Parts: sequence; C-alpha cells; structure tokens
Amino acid sequence: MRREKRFFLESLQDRETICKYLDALKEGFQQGEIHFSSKEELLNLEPCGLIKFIIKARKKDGEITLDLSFKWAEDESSPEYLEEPCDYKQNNVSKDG
Amino acid sequence: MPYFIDLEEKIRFMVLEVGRQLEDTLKIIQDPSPDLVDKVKSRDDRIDNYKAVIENLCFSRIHGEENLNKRQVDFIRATNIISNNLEKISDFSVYIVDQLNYLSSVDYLDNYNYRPFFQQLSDALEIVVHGLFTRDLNYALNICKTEFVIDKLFKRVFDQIIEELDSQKNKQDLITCIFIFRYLERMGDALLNIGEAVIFSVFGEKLKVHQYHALVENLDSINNGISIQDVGFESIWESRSGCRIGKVMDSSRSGSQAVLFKEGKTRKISREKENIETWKRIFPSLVPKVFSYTQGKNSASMLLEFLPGCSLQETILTQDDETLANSMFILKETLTLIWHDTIKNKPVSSGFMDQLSQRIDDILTIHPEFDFSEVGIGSLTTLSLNSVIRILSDIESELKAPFCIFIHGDFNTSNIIYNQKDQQVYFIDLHRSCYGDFVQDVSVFLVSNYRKPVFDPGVRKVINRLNLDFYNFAGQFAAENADNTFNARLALGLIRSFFTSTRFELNQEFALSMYQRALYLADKLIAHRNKPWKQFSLPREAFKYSSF
Repeated sequence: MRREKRFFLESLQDRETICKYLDALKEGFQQGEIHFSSKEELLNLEPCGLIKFIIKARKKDGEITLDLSFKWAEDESSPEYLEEPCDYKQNNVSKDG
Repeated sequence: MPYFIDLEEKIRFMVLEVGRQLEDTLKIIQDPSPDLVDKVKSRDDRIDNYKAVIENLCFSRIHGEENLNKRQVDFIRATNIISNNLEKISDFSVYIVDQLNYLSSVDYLDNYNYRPFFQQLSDALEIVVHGLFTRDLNYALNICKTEFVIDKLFKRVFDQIIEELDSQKNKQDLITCIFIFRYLERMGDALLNIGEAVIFSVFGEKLKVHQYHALVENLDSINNGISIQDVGFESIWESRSGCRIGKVMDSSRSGSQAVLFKEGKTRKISREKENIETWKRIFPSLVPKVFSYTQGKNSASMLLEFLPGCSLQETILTQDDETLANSMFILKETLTLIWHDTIKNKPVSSGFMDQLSQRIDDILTIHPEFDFSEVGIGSLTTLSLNSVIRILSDIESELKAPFCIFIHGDFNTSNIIYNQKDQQVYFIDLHRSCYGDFVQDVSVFLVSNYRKPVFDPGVRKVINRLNLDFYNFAGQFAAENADNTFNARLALGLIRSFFTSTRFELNQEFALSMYQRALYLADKLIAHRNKPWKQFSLPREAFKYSSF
C-alpha cells in the first residue's frame, strides 16, 4: 500500500500574516503546483481538472471557524500516479482561519 | 498509641525479626552454616509476610469506616514506611549471605572491620519501636544518625578495598567485599528512612533530617522559647524553586505568631537574604523580616516573618471586583514608588533569550513536539526554532533598556501578598531581585496571570482586563521615561515567559496556546527588523486568553 503523505501546520496568526499564507496558496493554484515541505515530509501537489471547493463558516458562542477545503483527483498522467495505478489517491489540504 | 494495638504488635514483631536477621547474618559471616543460611532465607519470607500484613492493616484502617484524625493517619503512614524499610534491611541480609558464596573464603572478610556496621544497625533497630510509639524526636534523630556513622564506616572500608584493587590480587574477593559492604551501607539508608518516618509521625510533615536540624538551629537562634516538640509545621508545597518552605507555629500557645522556614541551596537562600536586606533599605515594609539565617556547606536556611494576607493570585481567583481593584491599585501605587525611587540612568540588557536558552532543553523534554524545523508552503517559508532563537538574540542585543530599576526578578502573582486590612502589598521569594530591566517583572506578571489553568470565561475575562490594565500602567511609565523600546522588549519577555511556562504545563492544549503565542510574537518581532523599534506595536491579543 502506498504511504500516505501528510503536511500539517498549526499556528497563531493575525489577519496580516494569514494573507501571506493565502497569497502563497493562491500563487500555487495559479502556477498549478504547490509545494509543502517540512523536515519530515515533502509534498508536491498539482491542482488540476475539477476541484471540489468547500467553504464552511460557523459562529457559535463567540468562536468563529472558517474552513476552506480543496479536493481533486491526481492527474492520471502524473508520474507519481503511474507508480501504482490501482491506488486511487486524493489530496486534501485544509486551512483553518 | 493504644488505638492501634494490632499494628503496634505487628511492627514490634517485625523489628524483632529483622534484629534476628542481622544477628544471624553476622553469625554466618563469622562461622558459616548451611542451616543458618536456610533460617535467614525462610525468615526473610516471614518478614515479607509481615510487610504485606502491615500494609493491609494500614490501608484498611485509613480507608475503613473509622473517622481517624490527622495524627492517627500520620502514625499509620509512618508505620507503613517503617515496615517497608525493615523489609529492605531483611532483603539486604539475604543478599549479603548470597554474596558470601563468591568469596574464596569467608575469612577474607576479616580483613575489614564489619562488626561496627552490625553494632550500629542493631542499636538503631532497638530504639525504633520506642521512638515510634512515644513519638520521641531524640530517638528518631539517633536512628537517623546511624546512617551518617555507617556512611563513614563504609567510606573507610571502600577506600581500603580500592587501594587493594591496585595490587592485582584477589580481584573477585575484593569486588565481592565491596558488594557486601554496599548492602550494609544501604541498610543504613533504610534506617534513615525509618528515622525520618518517626519525624514525620511527630510533625505530620515530611521533613528530611537535615531540614529538621536546620529548623531547630534557626528556632534556637531566635531564642523565642518554642520547644521543637511543640512546633507545628505546615508545608507550602507550591514552590517550584526547589526550596523547602513551611509555616512554623507554636502549637502549645494559641494565637502565637507563625514564622516561615525556608531551606534550600546555599546560593539561592543567601542571595535571597542579601536581596531582602537591599529591599529593607529601599522599602522596609515591603518584604519579610529575616529572623535568623544559618548556612551549611551545601544548604542554607532561614526563618522569615510570616506575612499576613493572601497572594495576589488567590485574590484574582477568589475575590470580588472591588477587592481586586483595590489590590491592583495598591500594587500599582507601590510599583510607581519603587520604579521612581530606584530608577538609575544606566542602560541594561534584559537577558530574556539567555533565560530561554538555559531552559530550552527542559521545555523540549516535556514537549518534544515544540521543536520544529523550517517549513515551506509554496513561496512562503518559516524559520526553524533554532533560527528563531538566534535571530531573537540578535534583536535583543539591539534592545537595551535605557535605564535600570530594582526589580523583584520573579514577579509572578503568587509572589505578591495583598493585605486588605493594612492596605499594603508585600513581595516574597526575592532571590532573583536585582537592578535590571523592569520589563522582566512586567512580562512575568502578565504571563503568570495567563498561565493559570482556569478556564471559566468569567474569571478569564477578569484576568484579561487586569492584564490589559497592568500593561497600560507599565506602558505609561515607559512613555514618561522615554523608554522607546518598551514594547519590543516586552514582546521578548513575553516570548521567554510563555515558552518557559510550558515546561510546567502538561495540559497539551493549554501549553500549545502559550507556545503559539510565543511564536506569534517572535514572528512579529522578526518581521519588524530593520525598522525603528520605537514603532513596534505589541499585539495586545498576545497576552489575552482565548479558548482555542
């Protein structure tokens, strides 16, 4: 079974720095590739085709949650996909705001 | 204590059995006999049973239906500790007997003076029962003293054996002898525990024998006529400083004035004493009086005035708005006086990053996940923990405080005592006081409020308001004194205190919230580099608690 790759980052930010993170993601979507790297993991995503895009906003007891979720299927011609063609893989990157 | 006849009977028998165990071990060393060896081993099983029976009795009495008072519970606890240690002595006897098999000849032991070990151990065992039943401190101390004598005897034998090891002969015999004497030495350790258990049954508090001696010495030196037998000792356990702190009262006189006993590393206690003297010169009524001070090789102790009132921390958590507002008013008035009176026109480094670096290993031991490497998200990259600390250290070197002030040095709200009746605050725990950056006290104060593990929204609202008020108060003083880097230094101080506070916090979520605040402030400071520090704006949300 192919190893699951994950990237996770949790931090406290303010509006100004949140925009920097969103800009980085925006830039990645525009270029068709977003790289996530940490000491343990390197994850290259290539958003393509149709992308399921979910925005969830919630306000309860003074606490607000805004979830952005993007979901797509890996391009069938991508080399990573071809390594093990039977394994359907999806990438899910979510960002709490 | 006739109430515990069953327990007394068992412990009396157990002591006798352990005494016989020692006698027979000595006999075996002098004249080995397989029958005697069997006897020692089967007696050890019997002693194990005694231990189990006593333990059952102790727990069933404590958890039974009876309504035992503290003194009775303490007696039971002491008895259980004594029984555990008696059993250890019996085990060591068996180990010694086993070790004899490894000697080329048992006579080899005659090269060393083993008899005084047995004499000391038997003499101490003989007084255990009397010491415990009559709650006699002199007996307890004599039992404890045995350990020191045995340690000395062991040192002598050990040195002799080490010297002989150089001769290249009889190595196995020599090493076996070390093992045997080491077991005798450990019997002494068990006796020390027994003696301290008797001290515990008298005081109702765990007090090491050296702490007991320090307490007696201090009480003698103030010559207040309190007999040690009448002393009530109540531990104050919240201390993280490693010092032993207890409230000492004369239980024979009602309404007598309590004093505070503090014992710890010489460096800490002597510094605190010196700092109290400095505070006394500046603000005589702000700090406790030192009634006595004694100093040993490694540790020192003192008796301090027990200041009436409750800590500001308790006031924040338990008092009404009006009382809290009054306490904060008095605190700010007092600080205004201190800051104005002690300000010196001498720039000073804050040293926050050094303080953080010294504690970083402790933090990462508790929270290894707090160590992080560089992270990249597309074109955005974040720094590793090491890089963050290095850059913050560089920033700190540009940010000297323009003046110094005599600061508390560990200004958390449990070190501030508020006395509503006298309308006064007092400072305690003063070993870190010095002329330094007043932002040190401001940041510790703010984080000490934040890190209270209280999650009631009402209390949190009060703490948030109080922190903002204190920040504004300090900021105003900074502005009045042209302290242009106040906000940037405060950010560094908050980073240090948030980060280091996580090492005492095992609630993962709460620790994470402090850690993330530290990193958020670090990002803000790092992003501000190359701009004038005067323009740095401290995000107030950083010291405001939020539930996520």
